[in-house]
Amino acid sequence: MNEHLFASRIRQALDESAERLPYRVTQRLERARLAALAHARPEAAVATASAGPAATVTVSGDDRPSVLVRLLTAGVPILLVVVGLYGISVWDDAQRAAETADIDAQLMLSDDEVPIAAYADRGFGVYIKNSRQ
Amino acid sequence: MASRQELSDFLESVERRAFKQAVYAVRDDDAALDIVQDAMFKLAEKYADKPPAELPLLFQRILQNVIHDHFRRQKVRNLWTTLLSSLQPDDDEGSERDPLDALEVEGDARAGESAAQLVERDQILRIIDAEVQKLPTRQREAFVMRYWQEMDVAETAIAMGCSEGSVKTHCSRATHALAEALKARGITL
Repeated sequence: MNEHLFASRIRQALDESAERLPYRVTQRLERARLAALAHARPEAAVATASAGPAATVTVSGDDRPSVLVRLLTAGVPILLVVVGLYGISVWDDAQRAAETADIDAQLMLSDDEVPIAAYADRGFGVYIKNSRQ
Repeated sequence: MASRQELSDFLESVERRAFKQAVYAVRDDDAALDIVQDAMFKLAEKYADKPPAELPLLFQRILQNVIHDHFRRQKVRNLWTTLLSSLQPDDDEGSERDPLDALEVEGDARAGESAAQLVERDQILRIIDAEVQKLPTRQREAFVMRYWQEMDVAETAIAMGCSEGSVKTHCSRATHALAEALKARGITL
């Protein structure tokens, strides 16, 4: 018996053996196939067997966005959130400082206990002028 | 470009043989199933846009790579598991067995055969399976791709990453080794 004839007999036996796989294995293979098909690139899912030569689809090697684009896509929203939170924090601090300054100034003016040095402060002078207006 | 249906048909046509091929290599059904699933995913994800004629060679190449990756990972894993295995109790494999595994669906073509013939045929198939599995790795890979997957010498050489001359040598040695092994066990084909 020559090599090819012997090999064809072996192939028949192996085919028969593959047809007798346990149910658990065939089920798992089917699930794996369906999962792989669901995972297939969208181009393959859209294309149909009936599409003629005119309907050829040009596909580049890899249509996924580059690493830089993906990093920017993920990084920009995070950066915006961080900047936003910092802005809110600064604005809140400024508001608190303004309120405190206002309260302190009102207290000092009402008690007529403004230190002499305060009148030498340019900012206090502007405040007094504005509050009188 | 392969359509979804063509890709599905291709995977269905090769999945059983791919599983057996993986079992011959790793000798573990669950690991072989994982390997086939991984190979299917990679083919679908990266090469679904290739023409249907290119799929068999691509799939074989991917399957071989996944099998080799499995062995590489296993080597690293074994380093740790051998150190820790003595601390763990043995698993009871019998409790994990699926009773459906014992059921085998026979086709109509086998309806006329007697129980004795079925058992004998089953034994012969198991012996052939075992002898194919016993072949040296490269011989088995060449034999399975060349004669079972029906790839030509050039395709087999590409999939195996070797010369065409090496493929012919591996195939010839595998065939002779198989023939001698089966003859020694009293099996004539």
